[in-house]
Amino acid sequence: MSLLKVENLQAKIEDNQILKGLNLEVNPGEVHAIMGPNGSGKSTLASVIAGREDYEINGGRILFEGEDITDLEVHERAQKGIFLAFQYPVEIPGVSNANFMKSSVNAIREARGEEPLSAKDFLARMREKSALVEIDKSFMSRAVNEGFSGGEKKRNEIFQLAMLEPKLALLDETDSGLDIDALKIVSQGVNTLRNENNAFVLITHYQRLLNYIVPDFVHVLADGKIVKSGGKELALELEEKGYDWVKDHAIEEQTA
Amino acid sequence: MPIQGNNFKERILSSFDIYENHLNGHKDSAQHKVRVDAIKHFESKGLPTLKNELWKYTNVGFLNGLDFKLDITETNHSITKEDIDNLKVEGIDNYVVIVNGFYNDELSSFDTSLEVKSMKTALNDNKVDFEMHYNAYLKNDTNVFSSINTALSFDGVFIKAKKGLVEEKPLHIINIVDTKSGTQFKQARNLIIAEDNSNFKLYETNHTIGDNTGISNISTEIYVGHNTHLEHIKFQNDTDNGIYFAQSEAKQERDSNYTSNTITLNGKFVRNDLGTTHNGENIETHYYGYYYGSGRNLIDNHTMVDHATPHCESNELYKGVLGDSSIGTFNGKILVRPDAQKTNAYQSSKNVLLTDTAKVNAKPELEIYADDVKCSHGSSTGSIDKDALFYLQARGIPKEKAKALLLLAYSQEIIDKITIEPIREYITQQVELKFGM
Ligand SMILES: Nc1ncnc2c1ncn2[C@@H]1O[C@H](COP(=O)(O)OP(=O)(O)OP(=O)(O)O)[C@@H](O)[C@H]1O
Ligand SMILES: [Mg+2]
Repeated sequence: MSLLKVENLQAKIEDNQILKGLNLEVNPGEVHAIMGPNGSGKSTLASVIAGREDYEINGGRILFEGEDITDLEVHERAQKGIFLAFQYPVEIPGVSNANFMKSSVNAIREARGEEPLSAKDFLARMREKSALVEIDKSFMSRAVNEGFSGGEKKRNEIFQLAMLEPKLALLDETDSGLDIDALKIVSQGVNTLRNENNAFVLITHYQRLLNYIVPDFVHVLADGKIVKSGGKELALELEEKGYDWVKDHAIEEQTA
Repeated sequence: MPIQGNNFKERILSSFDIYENHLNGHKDSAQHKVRVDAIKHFESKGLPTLKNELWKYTNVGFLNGLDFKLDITETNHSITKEDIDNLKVEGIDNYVVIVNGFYNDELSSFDTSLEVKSMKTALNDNKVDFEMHYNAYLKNDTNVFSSINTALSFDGVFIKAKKGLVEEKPLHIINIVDTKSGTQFKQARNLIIAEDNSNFKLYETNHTIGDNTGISNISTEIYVGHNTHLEHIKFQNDTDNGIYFAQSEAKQERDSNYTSNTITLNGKFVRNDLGTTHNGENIETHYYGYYYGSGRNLIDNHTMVDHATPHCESNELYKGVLGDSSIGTFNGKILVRPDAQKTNAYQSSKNVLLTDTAKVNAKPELEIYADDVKCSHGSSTGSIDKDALFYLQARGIPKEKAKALLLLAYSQEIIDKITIEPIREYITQQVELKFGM
C-alpha cells in the first residue's frame, strides 16, 4: 500500500483555481523531488496535504496509508505522521522552542495512546536531535523562530522533523537561503532520518540539494499539475533547459 | 428605616441623609465637610451617561436596577479564616484583609516593616499624613465614583513606608465583599504613602463571596516620594457576581518609579481608573495591563498620565483578549503640560478578538502642550494569528490547545513584568486555567 496517494486533486483559494487535477503517489522508503516555476502550486500542494483550511478542495482526494484524509483537521494529519517543513517558518513570540516541542511531542503521543515523555527523556531527545542539525541549545529557550536568521529557521524545521520522526515529510524549499555548510548539515540530517518506513517529498528550485539527498523520482509541477515525472537525471535536464522546455514538451504530449 | 426608591442616586443620597442624622453634633468637623462637598458633587452630576466622554463606552445605568443594601456603618459579615486561606497566594505571607469596606484585623496577618493599619485608626494616629495626602489626589470632580467614595467610605487600609524603608516582602491587600445576605454596595478607601527613598511592593485582589451581586467601589490614593520605588499589582479574577469600580490616583515626586500592573481575568463588570501626576524631574511611570473577557464580562481600563514636569518618562502597554460576548475598553490618556519639556511618553494598546460577538473599544489620547518631547501611541486589534495556529496544528497540537498556547504567550509579556516570583507564577497558573490548560 502506498503511503501517500493524491488523486486528481483540485484546490482553490477565493476564485483562484490553483491545483487542477494533480496526481502523486509516494511509497515508504522513497524520496520524491517536486520542482516547478514560481507560483505553479508547489506550496499549495504541501499545505493542502497538511490540511490547511484556507483552501477549498473542489475535486479529488488524498489518501494516507490507504485512509481518505481529505476532511481531517491539520493536527489529526500531523498526529498520523505527516510533517510539513514550512517554506516560511512562522515566528511565535512568547512560546519557547522547548515548550513548543514538548506540547507537540506529547500531543502526538497522546493521540497514539502513549504516556507523555518524562522530562528526562524529553531533554535527552532534544539534546540528541539538536546535535543532529547542529543547533545550539540556547535556541531551545528562545521563542519559536523569533529573530532567527533564514538559515536558522530552516534548520529548526529539520530539528522538529527529527524530534517528531514522521512517516511522511514534506520539505518546502528547506534548501532555499541555506549556505553550503548549512545545506550539508540539513541534508545529512535528512539522510540520517531516512529509512524504509518513511518517505520524503522535497520541494526545491535547485538541483544542488539533490546532490546531497538523492531522489528516487523527480516531478515537474506546472500550472497546478504534475506535467512530467522522471528519475534524478530529470533535475539536471531541467536545470540545463529550464521549465519552458517541460511546458512545451507537456503540451506536445497532450496534443500528440 | 428602609431606604426608599430603587434609583441609584436616590439610594446614595438617602443613605447619606441617614448617616448624617446619626451624627448628632459632629457635623462641623473638617472631615464631614469633605463628605458633604463630595455628596453635593455627586448630587449635581448623578451617574454618568454615555454622553460623558469618560464613560462613552460603558453604561452604568444598570446600577439603577440593583436592589442593594446600603447600611454604611454595618460591619457584620460571615467571612472566615478558611475563606482567606482560599484567597492567599503561596509564598506571600503578609496580607491585609478588607471586608465590606472595613479593615479586618482578625483576618489579616503580617509581619512587615511597613506601617499597616485601618484608615479609622490612622485618621487619629496619623493626622499629619492625613492633612497632607488624604483626598489630595483623588479626582472627585471628574469621577462621581470617587465622590461617592469620599462621601460614604468609613474605612480601608492605610499603608506607609517611612523614609528610606526597604521592604522586600510584598503585602497582599485582599478586598472582599460578602454578599451572602443580599446585594451589597461597599466602599473602601485606601491611603498609601511611600516616603522618600522607600521601596516596596503591593499586590491587590478583589473578591465577591456569596450568591448575590457585590458592588465594590474602592478609591486608593498613593503618594510616591522622592527616589521611591513602588510596584503595585492588581489581580482581578472575581466571580460573575462581582461589580468593581476602582480608582487609583498617584502623585509622584522627583526620581521616583511607580509601576502599576493590572490583570483582569473575570468579573461581571470592572472599571479601573488609574492616574498619576508628576511633580518633579526624572520620574518614571510604568503602566501594564492585561485583560481577558469571557461570557458577558465588561472590562474597562481608563488611564491618565499627567506629565506636569520636565525630563520624565511614562511607558504604557495594555493587552486584551476578548472572547464570547465580552466587551473590553481601553482609554489611555497622556497629558504633556507646557512645562514638561523632554518628556518621553509611550503608550500601546493591543487587542485580540476571539469571536464576532466580542467587542473592543480602544481610545488612545495624546494631548501635548510642550514642543520638545518624544511621544508615541498606537493601538491595534486583531484576531489570533492564523499562520501561527496552522504552524502549531501542523505539529500535532489540537486547535484549542494551540489557541491556548498562543493566548498564554500573548499574556506573558505583561505577566513577565511582575517582579514578585510567587505572584508571577500564580497569575500564570490562573491564566492557564482560564484557557483550559
Ligand atoms: N491566499 C491566496 N489568495 C490568492 N491566491 C493565492 C493565495 N495563496 C496562494 N495564491 C496563489 O496560488 C498560486 C500558487 O502559489 P504557491 O505558493 O503554491 O506557489 P509555489 O509553486 O510554491 O511558488 P514558489 O516557487 O514561488 O514558492 C500563486 O499564483 C499564488 O499567488
Ligand atoms: Mg512555494
